[in-house]
Amino acid sequence: MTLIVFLLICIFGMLLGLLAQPFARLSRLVAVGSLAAALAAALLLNPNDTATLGEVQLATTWFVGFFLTALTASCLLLCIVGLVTGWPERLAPAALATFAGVGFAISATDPTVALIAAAAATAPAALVASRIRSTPLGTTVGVAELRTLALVIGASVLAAVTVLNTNWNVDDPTFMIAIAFVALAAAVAVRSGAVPFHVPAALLSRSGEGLGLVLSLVWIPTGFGLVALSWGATIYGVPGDWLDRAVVAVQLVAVATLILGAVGAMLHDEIEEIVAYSIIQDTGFILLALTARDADAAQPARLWLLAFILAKSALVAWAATTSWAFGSSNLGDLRGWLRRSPILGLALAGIVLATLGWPGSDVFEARGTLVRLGLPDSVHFLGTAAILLSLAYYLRLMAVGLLTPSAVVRGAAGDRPRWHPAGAEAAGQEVVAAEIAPVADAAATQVAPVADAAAAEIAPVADAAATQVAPVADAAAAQPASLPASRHADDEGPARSHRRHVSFGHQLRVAWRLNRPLQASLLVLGIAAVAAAVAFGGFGAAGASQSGITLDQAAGPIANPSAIDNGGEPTPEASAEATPAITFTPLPSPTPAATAAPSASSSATAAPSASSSASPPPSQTAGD
Amino acid sequence: MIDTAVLAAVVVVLGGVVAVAPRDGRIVILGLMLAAVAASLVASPLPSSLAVTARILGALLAAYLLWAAAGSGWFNSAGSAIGVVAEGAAAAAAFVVGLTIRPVDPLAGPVVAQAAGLALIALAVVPLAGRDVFRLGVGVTLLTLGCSLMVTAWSGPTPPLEQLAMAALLIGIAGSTSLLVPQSEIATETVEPVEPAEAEEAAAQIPAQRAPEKAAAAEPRPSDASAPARTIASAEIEEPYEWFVPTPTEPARRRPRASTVRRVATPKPAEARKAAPKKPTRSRSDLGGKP
Repeated sequence: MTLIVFLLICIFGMLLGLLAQPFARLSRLVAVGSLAAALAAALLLNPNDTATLGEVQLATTWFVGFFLTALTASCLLLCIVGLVTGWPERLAPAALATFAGVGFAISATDPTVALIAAAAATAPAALVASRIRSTPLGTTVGVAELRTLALVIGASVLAAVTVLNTNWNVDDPTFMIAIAFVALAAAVAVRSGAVPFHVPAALLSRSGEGLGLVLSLVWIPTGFGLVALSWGATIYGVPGDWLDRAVVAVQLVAVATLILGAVGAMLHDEIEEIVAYSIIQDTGFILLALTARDADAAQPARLWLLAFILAKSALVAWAATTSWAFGSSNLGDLRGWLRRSPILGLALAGIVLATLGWPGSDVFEARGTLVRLGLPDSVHFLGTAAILLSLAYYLRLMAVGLLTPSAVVRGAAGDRPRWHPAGAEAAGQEVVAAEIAPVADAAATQVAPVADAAAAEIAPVADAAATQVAPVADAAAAQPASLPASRHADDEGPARSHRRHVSFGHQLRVAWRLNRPLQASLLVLGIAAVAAAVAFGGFGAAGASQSGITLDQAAGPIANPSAIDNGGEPTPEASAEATPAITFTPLPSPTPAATAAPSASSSATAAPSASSSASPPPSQTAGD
Repeated sequence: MIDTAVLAAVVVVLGGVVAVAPRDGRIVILGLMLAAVAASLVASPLPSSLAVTARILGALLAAYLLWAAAGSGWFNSAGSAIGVVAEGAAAAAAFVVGLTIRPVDPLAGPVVAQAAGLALIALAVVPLAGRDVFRLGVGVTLLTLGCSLMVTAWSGPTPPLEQLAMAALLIGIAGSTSLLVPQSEIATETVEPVEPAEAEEAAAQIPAQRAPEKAAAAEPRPSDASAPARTIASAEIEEPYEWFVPTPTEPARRRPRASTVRRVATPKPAEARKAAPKKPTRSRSDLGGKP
């Protein structure tokens, strides 16, 4: 029931958010409110919750709750950052639609439903991409989005029908499994912008999307990747020549992504592009988890996905805040940013820590395990190379921040808190400026047309009047110089005199407005801290990643369906039971945190059959 | 008595052909809706009424989203490059192939579902290879419908939640297409530039008594690709830059405020490069105002 509540909140929040789009304040209120409600629902998700909807059982696990909590929390925090740095239009409705789709996908016990829901969850990326108005870029990104959607749908359905059928009319059944594996890996690679397919992601980063990047490059790929990974050790863990060739192809893409993504991040000067390439580089680990095809890779992959969501969300928030605080996103302009905004520097350090960890930490070990299991022994050094390359571009960002501040950075406010120090005339002026600015802007807009018309009429009169008034004005101009001395005989400065006329509450509001860079920096630091905590196994992340999603437990393994390339030895799974065939019967009762990865012995629904080709049509889940 | 699944499969293929062949956007959307509605009925046994209702509502909503994106209806597809007959022949060939092949033996669903699915996938290939966003959306929708029919054929009857998920997916595709279409229409749907000499020549050939018609034909209908070439030529003469002007509803975005534009007196080339805003799209004003 708690899962249904979460899904309903996401769906209605998305609809309300879209309906409220024309009204700026209302849409922000609806977005933040919906996300807060969704976060609360995700936090309260019962790990043993089950619900039957449309003859398909939806079941939650500890990890499902943790994953949805990480998604909603990162989105809510980013939207709060967006309230300060610039509201990301449509991000919240699109994200809520994605979260609903991901919620369906990772809780469904039916693989077709799970994969179709995962594919549907990728569609809202168009909501963010459609904001690009610059014509050539918008067209290219739009075409790329739709083609990616087509690939994701085709791959999902192909994978679903492949794993549902064991009676393929082909000589080698692993051929179909290999095709499904390649299709699914291609969908993950294209959706996450892995290196041969990175151009749309790079274009999106140049579009000035800011916070919107995170939906297309982080949240959607992780949701889809989680569903794809759920079968890594079961369906694709069988030996076969075709499958081995397919795995080699995906390994090549993963290695290219790990290396060239980091190189791309080092070569670019716009921090949005650096962030995009950094995200692209780290999606290589999702592909490595796919190629591992080992039950031991399941837990590190899940932990990596959690760390990836939060760390990259924090990185996108850091980039948006830095661009906003200094008015530029070019590294040339941002020289000395760290001196001016040390809190943002701390946040970046936290993000690096959450992404890379250190030897012995959970995230470091997870990355190492994925490299060890996903790549051949001879290229394990690439894992170290990827870490070093990542460090290189992060250190480059830091080094630029430690240089002598540029004019742009010197002109920015920075993280320094600004209050009303006694006698500080500058502070008083800032207060007045902050008070006046919004009013002046509004007034200028209203007055401009009237002023233009009046100026033409007044000009002759003003010329004549100026001649008469000049002596009086000269006398008046001399007067203000003597006024402060007479009014502030008690040696109070002008700022204090200003405060005397302004209420404390009003001063607080003004101070709140003055310190927005500080607020944004602290928010980013908070996200980075949460990301680092999760990456180090905090908040129960290590325990949650031990339990998989429902689909992991619903899918039993195919034990050597082709009976080849195994040296005549029975596979470990086959030794447990005769020849278990894959079935997807609904779970009688979910066992959330019990199994790290499915195995033949844990697959309660595996139906024995002598050979896959002679087996009857697979039992349908709830559709029968 | 013709089986409902067979009839629905034929309607699906006809709808697919109608969706990819014509240029008129309204007919394209109609064909798409027909295919989407009929696809839910290509099953044996038929799904529950609730599931069919969900699919039909999803198809209608998807069609409405595309229709809404089309605005007042002046919205066209690039159309098929090979013509409706060739598209129909290709679909028929794929249908026949689908009736004969048996990749899964025995099939868990009706064979006509496999045939119709293969025909829709064949029809979707060419639109997916193009750069017209509307046709791309049509292609993605047809591919999705074709895949759903393949699932029906290979895996048997589908549970209602799967039908609901498929309906949501169709709505998502249509929504994505409707969001991405307008901007790409502005970007790509431009008339090929006409050389001034050719344009003058074309204008000279138009009889003087047809001037009122010519003026009427030059009314702004930027997405009407089916307009005759003569009309386009006359429009080029009278409004040479009309096609490149954004629609009035498009807000002028990414324009930096006057206060944020730096004015540098007599800049040297190197200083000018450094001082000029490198990317106006990332100026402080666009990022939410000066802190």
